[in-house]
Amino acid sequence: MDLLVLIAVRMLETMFFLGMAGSTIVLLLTTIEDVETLTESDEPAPAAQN
Amino acid sequence: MASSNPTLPSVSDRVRIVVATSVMLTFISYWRAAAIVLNDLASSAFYACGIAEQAVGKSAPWFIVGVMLFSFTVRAVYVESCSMFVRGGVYKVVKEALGGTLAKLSVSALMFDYILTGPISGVSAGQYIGGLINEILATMNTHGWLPRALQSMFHGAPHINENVLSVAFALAVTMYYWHENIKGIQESSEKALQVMKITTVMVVILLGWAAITLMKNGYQPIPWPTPANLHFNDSSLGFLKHARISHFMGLFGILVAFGHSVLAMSGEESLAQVNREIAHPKLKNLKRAAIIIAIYSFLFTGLASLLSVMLIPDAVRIPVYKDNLIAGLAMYMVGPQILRLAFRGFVVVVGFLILSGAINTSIIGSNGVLNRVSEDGVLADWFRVPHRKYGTSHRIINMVVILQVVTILFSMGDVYTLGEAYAFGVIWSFTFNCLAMLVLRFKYKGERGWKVPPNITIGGIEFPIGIASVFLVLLTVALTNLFTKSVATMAGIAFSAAFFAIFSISERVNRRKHAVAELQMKEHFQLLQRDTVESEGLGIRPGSILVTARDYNTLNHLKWVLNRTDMREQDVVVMSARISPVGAGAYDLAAEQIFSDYEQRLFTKAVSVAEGFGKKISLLVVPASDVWSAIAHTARNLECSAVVAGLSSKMSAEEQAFFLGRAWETIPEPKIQFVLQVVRPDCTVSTFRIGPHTPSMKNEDVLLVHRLWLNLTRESGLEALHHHDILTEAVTRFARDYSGPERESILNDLRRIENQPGQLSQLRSTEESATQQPALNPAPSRENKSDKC
Repeated sequence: MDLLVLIAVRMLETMFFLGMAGSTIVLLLTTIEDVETLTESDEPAPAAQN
Repeated sequence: MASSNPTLPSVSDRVRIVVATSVMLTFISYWRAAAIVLNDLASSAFYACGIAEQAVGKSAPWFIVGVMLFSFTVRAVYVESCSMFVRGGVYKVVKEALGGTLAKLSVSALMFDYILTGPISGVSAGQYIGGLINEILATMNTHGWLPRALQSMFHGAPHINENVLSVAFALAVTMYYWHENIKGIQESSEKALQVMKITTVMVVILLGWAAITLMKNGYQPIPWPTPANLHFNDSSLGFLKHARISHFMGLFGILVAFGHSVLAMSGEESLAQVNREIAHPKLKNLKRAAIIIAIYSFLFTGLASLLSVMLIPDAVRIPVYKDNLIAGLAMYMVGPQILRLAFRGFVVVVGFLILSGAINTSIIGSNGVLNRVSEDGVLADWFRVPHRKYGTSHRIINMVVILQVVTILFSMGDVYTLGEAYAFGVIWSFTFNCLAMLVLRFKYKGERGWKVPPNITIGGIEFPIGIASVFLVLLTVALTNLFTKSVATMAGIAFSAAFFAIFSISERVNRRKHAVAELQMKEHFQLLQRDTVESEGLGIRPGSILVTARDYNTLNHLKWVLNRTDMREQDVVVMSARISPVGAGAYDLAAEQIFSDYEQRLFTKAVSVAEGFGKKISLLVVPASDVWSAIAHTARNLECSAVVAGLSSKMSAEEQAFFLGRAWETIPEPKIQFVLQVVRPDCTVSTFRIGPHTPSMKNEDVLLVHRLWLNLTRESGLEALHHHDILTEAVTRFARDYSGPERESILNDLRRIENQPGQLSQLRSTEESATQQPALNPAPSRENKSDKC
């Protein structure tokens, strides 16, 4: 039983830290985009619609 | 096609119904959108760190900071989900990706999240209020300000049971918002913005004062988030408390601790709910709103958590302030006690505003999601039957509030237990949403405005590395929480199973019922989808009469119109607005969802009324977030000369005109003026002109102008003066004075006039009686109640 729990725990740990590594890249890339979005100016609005 | 079906009548025999698929919205800026989301998201700052520290120990703030940083990536997933051009409710979209069973589970988890937002916010607000009252009583006792009789009665300072008070408070606020939601009073983004402005003032004072305190008094170090510094209790290990956990805790402890802190990002899902209302350029503004939300919640929730451990001594932080940590932070700032107590009072006021608002948001959100689920066909139509008087989906609201009341009573004011349960809904609803987005990357080939980076293309196949990474974190945390949060797991599974059963049974019943209804509909109606409503495309002549219809039992006003209209001269359009309130869903409805059973019944009755008069009417359904905006937009687009409505059960005819006039102000140019006629059940009619128009003048004002004219024309060089010249000069002087130092005096005079009985309706431009140029041949009368059937 302990072995099964151990295997499950190690799998979860691996997945979590892999995910965290990837999420850190997402965080960095989106932060760069965010800075661009905040500094960009708007295009003129299209003709009025519903 | 329907016309080729031998069992159906030909297309020309059937009544055409135009279904507009673009929602008529009153758009909001990204600041307001951010304020709405932050009202939910920032509320978790008031309880998240206290719960996390009880579960994992003193290093909890680092995990809260980690969760807040991770929330930036969850936000990115929601931005991608909002940038997809799909129609249907959350159930339909997730079903497309994951199939019916997982979609039902996903909606159940989302409902668990929404419903628990109310109880945890209410109970937490009660804890802050209880804590403040006890602190004030203790301070008064210390200074000998308490009456002796009171001291001897309580053997010292009286002490309120904070748990009992928080339950009573949460119940009272929930019942208040239940009543408001039954009445259908909409929350405005303006109110959300005001609350966030006050919250921002509190956050700035909190961070600034804390910085001064840190410089003056120093701080307690926060242990690094390493396995050695994690201290779990039996409750925070859940089902694992009996396992020989020390064998494999290590890095897994980090995962467990992260899972206990995840509720700090609860409320992120509200971003999807406000997406539809965001103004042009939609995607850019959505991203801007998301950035504001992420930075604000990071600064507030993240920094407040760190500061609470740095400034509040260990001896009192958990024993005294575990349920009102920000109030505790206020008490351990540098400065005189009275100032600290005053700031704590301010913290409690802000907590009351933001947490009470979160209770309302939870009822509105639950109602919106369940309405959408019902439109998607997985909740029986019975739940959506409108309230007889207010037209709201009262059965759904009642069900949501009953569940919230039961939760509040069961919690007995324990914020920790509520928080643990709440985290179940939060993490599983995020996980299902992220999984759906991941699967849709391969299944959905339609328009998508933005994708979570990075994406790598190998052999023509794009691999969504970013979204898969976020999903891995969410999934592992959700699975870990299943084992470490026993109360949450049991409550969450019981709740989700109950909702899953309701959805499954409803879906089966609806499938049978809808098959019959669909056949009936095809026999009588021809559904035409139009992206926008325009008179040319719909074959409606300019100058038509727009008749609003909501309740098929009250179509007197339609009879009144048909009785007086020459159809050779004017078209009559019967319009039903399909309302999805702000926050009802991330996606637009599909045509068959907009034209549901209820609209079918309503239009069947309307057609039958028209046939009774031997006249033909046009039928129109428009989805909208606000009924007044829908009427104003449709009247403009169809170039209507008149809008005719029945008297609302919620407001007077004058108020109906006021709200329509206000909506008229927000529609884009070119605007047209039209007449609103409100027909009462006794067929008396009030007429109002909408848009700028010549105001009707009181007799005494006309006489005054005439007297002035008589006097002025006697003056040299003014013999040719006209009456309107006097008015021009008067109004020009008024405008000048109004923008000068006389402004306050003018406003006071006007307030005095408005407070005189019978004056109110004459001051509002949109509420003016329009007896001079009636649209629909009412009797020539100068009375407001101008006509009868």
